[in-house]
Amino acid sequence: MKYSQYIFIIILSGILNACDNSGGEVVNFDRQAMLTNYAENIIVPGYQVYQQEVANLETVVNTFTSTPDADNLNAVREVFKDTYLSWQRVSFYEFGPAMDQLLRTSTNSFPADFISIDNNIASGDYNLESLSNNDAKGLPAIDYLLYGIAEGEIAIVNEYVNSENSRQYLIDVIADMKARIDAVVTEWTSGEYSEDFISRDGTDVGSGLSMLVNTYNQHFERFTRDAKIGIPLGIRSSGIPIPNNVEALYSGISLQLTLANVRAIYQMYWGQSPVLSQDGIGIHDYLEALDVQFNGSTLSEEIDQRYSAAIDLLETIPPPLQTAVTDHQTAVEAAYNALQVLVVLNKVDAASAMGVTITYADNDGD
Amino acid sequence: MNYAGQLTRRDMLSAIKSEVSKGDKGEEVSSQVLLNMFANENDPFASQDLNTSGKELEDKTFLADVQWFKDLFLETENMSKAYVANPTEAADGVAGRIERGTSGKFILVNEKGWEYTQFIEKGLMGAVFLHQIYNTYLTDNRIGNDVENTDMVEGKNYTPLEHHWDEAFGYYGAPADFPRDDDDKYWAKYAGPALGTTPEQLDIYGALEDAFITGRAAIAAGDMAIKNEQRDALYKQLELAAAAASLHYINNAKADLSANDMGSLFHHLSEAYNFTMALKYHPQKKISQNDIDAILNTDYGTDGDFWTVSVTSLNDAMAKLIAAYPELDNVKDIL
Repeated sequence: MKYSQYIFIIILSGILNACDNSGGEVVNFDRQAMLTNYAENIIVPGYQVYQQEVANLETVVNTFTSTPDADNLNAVREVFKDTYLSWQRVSFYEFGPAMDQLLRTSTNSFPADFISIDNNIASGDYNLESLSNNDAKGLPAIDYLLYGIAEGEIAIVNEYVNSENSRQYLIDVIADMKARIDAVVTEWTSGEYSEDFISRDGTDVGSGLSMLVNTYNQHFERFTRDAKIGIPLGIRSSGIPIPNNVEALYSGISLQLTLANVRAIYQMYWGQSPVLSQDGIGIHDYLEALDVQFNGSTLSEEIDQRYSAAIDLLETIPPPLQTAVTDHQTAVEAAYNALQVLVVLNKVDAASAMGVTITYADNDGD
Repeated sequence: MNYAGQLTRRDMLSAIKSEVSKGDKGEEVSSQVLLNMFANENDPFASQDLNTSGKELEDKTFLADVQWFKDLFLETENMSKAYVANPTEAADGVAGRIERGTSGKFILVNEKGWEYTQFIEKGLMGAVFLHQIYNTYLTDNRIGNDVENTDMVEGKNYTPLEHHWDEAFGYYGAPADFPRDDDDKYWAKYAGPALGTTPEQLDIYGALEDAFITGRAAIAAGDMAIKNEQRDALYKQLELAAAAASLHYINNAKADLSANDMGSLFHHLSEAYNFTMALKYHPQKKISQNDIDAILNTDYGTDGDFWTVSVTSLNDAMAKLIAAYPELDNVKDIL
């Protein structure tokens, strides 16, 4: 396991968690300590890093829109990539304050609807809060605005030299992102959502663990496995690849983003803070305490290996992804299948072992 | 028991829904057919039994809303024809069809995202069925203590009072054995099987079952005091059902927003909208008309424009509903 350099702190407290009404076994495990680790060491610091990146992005964009030139464009691009990576590390906590802000939908609905973006810029008349603009804003929009709005760096700089509407649109998109992450961080900190989350230490619907398990599973299935890899690969289009549906199409950093996302979810599973460089109590520890068996080994060991395998396979795909889905299909398929195995292990085996009901389903009922 | 008239009207609503949903399939819908079905004129139904029944929906519809529904029929026709002439995907301010998730099911919506299939079906459930229960069959005019309850209706084996109680039951939608399954239709479905809660968590269906049965037995025994208690329970629980169904669909809508699934969002909000609107038919509703209007015109979107909803606005709607119906507070997130 690659993270052995982290200080390994496990606190197995003496608090007995007797039979939950959700049917978990009797184990020596402090769920509240786990939730505390998640809230204080992983989720809030992760959001704060992303929040800082967005603030940085706003600063460099202000410089760029005041003085559009190649150097300033590159400065924006660098911060943009850092922002996109830091987003990958928090995108799956879509519950509570993030849900209230529709954070993921507002921040990362891809592919970007460049036609709407162009129209919005041309008319100068748009309301970014309308649901119809979900895919005309956020990071995918910035990806287009910085790399795709014209052909080549010089043309892109000229776009911003010449068009006040374009400059304003870039500013407005970032303002929308900033308002939302600021609201989320405020809610978790001074809004005391952290305390609320930590206090819900059961496994029933509405408990901290249930929200976490449901949201990261839904994210892993629909966004990591499908949106980032499967749909561009052609899984939903009878095997016909759709390269233009990759994340970060214009900057070409799709695979970096996917890897950052999978790694972050893996670390979350371990209870490790990617920001504070420390290890803590996580779902992995809960599964260990429950001593869940799987195919001659433990479930936690199996999941651990599967995460490593998926990450290895993602790393062997030759970038950029939009080319790989047509030219290196086997490699992309292998990664997709590895992600699918994890979906099942997490959504079916791990969730039921922990006594957590998966409540999201593909919308079909009336 | 005889509530043939109610069963007939339930079938008529089904037929109307089928006609309207042709629009969802991308086909033309005829407002003339809908108007004919509404008024039962010109033999509009495939079933001759319905055509010759002597019953209709229009004359049982809450009077102030009749024109609303006729307008919906006409708009459905216009939208469906516009779609056939120029297939368009729905967008902010643009009527068209939109897919619910990746299900392959499409719905036709207007420029605000309103799915007329739901507006018409769920709307008429309120304006006809619920309105008739509340404002006709459970009133003193029909089941008051002075209503004839000794002599049978001529040629039948029930008294007028018993019959009126049964007619209220007929508009509810449950089979006489209260099965809690797919056979529960209309309000019976939304009082129980369609909600996200288990009977242990919330049992409006059970409360209504008890009230209908106990009240019916009380009437047969001539016990007006118990009959009135059960009548009160019916008023209360039916109102709760409309509130619970609203919350259920708001929860669905929030999940749809989070999944960026506009089609499902519009489908679910269309249901929520009409269940919330149905609260207005209760003669002593617990929620204020102001709050109903605020939910419909602000929380469900600016002017009811579903493209402008947010999780915050939906939470505001939930807060208003819970304030009026605090019994639903502890299940509001599971409904």
